[in-house]
Amino acid sequence: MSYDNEFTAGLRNRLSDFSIDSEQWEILKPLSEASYSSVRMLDEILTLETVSAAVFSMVKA
Amino acid sequence: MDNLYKLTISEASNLLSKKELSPVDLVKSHLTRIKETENKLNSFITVLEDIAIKSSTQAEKEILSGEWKGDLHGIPIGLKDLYFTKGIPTTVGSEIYKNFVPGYDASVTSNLTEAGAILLGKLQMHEFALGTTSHNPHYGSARNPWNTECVTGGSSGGSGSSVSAGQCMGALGSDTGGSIRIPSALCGIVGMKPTFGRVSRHGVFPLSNSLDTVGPMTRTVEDNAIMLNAISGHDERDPYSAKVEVSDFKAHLEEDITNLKIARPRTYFYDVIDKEVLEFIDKACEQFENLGAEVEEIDLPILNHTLAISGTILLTEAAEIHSENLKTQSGLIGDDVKLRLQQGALTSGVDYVKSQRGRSVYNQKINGLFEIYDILLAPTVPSGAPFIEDDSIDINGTQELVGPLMARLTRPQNITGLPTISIPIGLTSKQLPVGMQLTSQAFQEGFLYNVAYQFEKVSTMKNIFPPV
Repeated sequence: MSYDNEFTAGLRNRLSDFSIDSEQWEILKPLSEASYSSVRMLDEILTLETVSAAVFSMVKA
Repeated sequence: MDNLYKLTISEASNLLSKKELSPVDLVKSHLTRIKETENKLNSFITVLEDIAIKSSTQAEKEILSGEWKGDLHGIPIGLKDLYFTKGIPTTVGSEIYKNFVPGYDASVTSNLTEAGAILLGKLQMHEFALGTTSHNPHYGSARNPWNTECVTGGSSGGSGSSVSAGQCMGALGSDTGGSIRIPSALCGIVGMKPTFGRVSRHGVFPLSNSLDTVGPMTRTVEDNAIMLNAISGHDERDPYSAKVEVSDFKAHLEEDITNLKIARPRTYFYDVIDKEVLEFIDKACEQFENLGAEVEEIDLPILNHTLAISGTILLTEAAEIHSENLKTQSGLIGDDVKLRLQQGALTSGVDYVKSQRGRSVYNQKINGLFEIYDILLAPTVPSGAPFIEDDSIDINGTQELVGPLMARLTRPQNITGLPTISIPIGLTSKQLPVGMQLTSQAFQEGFLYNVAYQFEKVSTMKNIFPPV
């Protein structure tokens, strides 16, 4: 599996920053991979025009 | 008067206003009920007996002197233990914050006490509100009053069990992925997740800044409207608080719902569901049709992206809030919660933004339904309450993990921020409650209460009491 550059570059630091040891990484790795795959599926519904700012339009109403 | 704890807020309020009931007697009845049942339920992290007696004595003086403050004056309530209470420990269900004593009240705490409500205690919850069972390694498991070997659901599990069992008349929960509606469904009570921004979150320990909502849990729809009346409104101390007019949520309960158009999405909601829950939902749809409503099944493929959007946003925002705890005190966090926070910490910025972009498309599609329909109808939880010791549950021959299963059907409404009420619709063959959730357009809570109230009138599940 290839992750985003952003992810792999900072991975080692992230693991130690968030107290993830090798045993936990064994559990977390498949969870992260599954999450990564499900987020990639969002490409089916995304276009260049969609913006996250729309999320908060309701509150400003 | 015996069994005062079985009164609804509305019934008790009527008697209190006429000076036919003492708030001291009402509070003592609930404190006795707590003493009788707490060793079986574990609903509370902190019981505030002395404060409650003192407050009820004050309420009695006020009411007798003609200073009745309204529907909540003298009514005993509980707060999930993430609402700041000045001078009273607020643990967030954690070891890390077990000695945290806020220096001020949450806005909603102030709203309720100013309305005359009597605080009985701080309620059990899943650690940091990040879980759906209320199994808590630091304070023990909240136990379901319908079967104390079963989970209450979470994360507002103590709120669910205490209201269901008559330990308090109403409670506040918080809902980020279903944490009000799940325990409401599994404990057989009414739970409202208001519109995002409707109720202030100032002084409420956060889990996910773009998903968190605050709402009431009660035994009847009318009681729920009474509590939401007290806590709604704009609060400039909460940057997400909406500037929207608040009307009396009780005002429209009796309105006719003939010609109501209800959409029942087939997609996603019935992929994993217990047969008995499905039967109760079918029956509820028939009851709505008997009330003159039109129920139409619809397909909505965007719902299949629910877990990707909700899971990514929730866990990433939770990891940001708890990043220092993860770095410096991770050994004090329960294993299940720590794992979820770490998973969130590993999410890339790219994936978080992609999920937020997906959310805007998702919201557009769901909101578009309300050009045709008035209400979206769905089951709240795919099954009755699982056993506490079980990590998985059999659904029609397949083992499903309990944690994700409990929140599977409640996450869509947190993504959209739309108001959603869960009401009880039946008991399974194992005598465990089943819930149905109804969703409306933003800021239409009064209309939701109207629809739920009309259903409740023809239901056998109003103000039901468990065997505990």
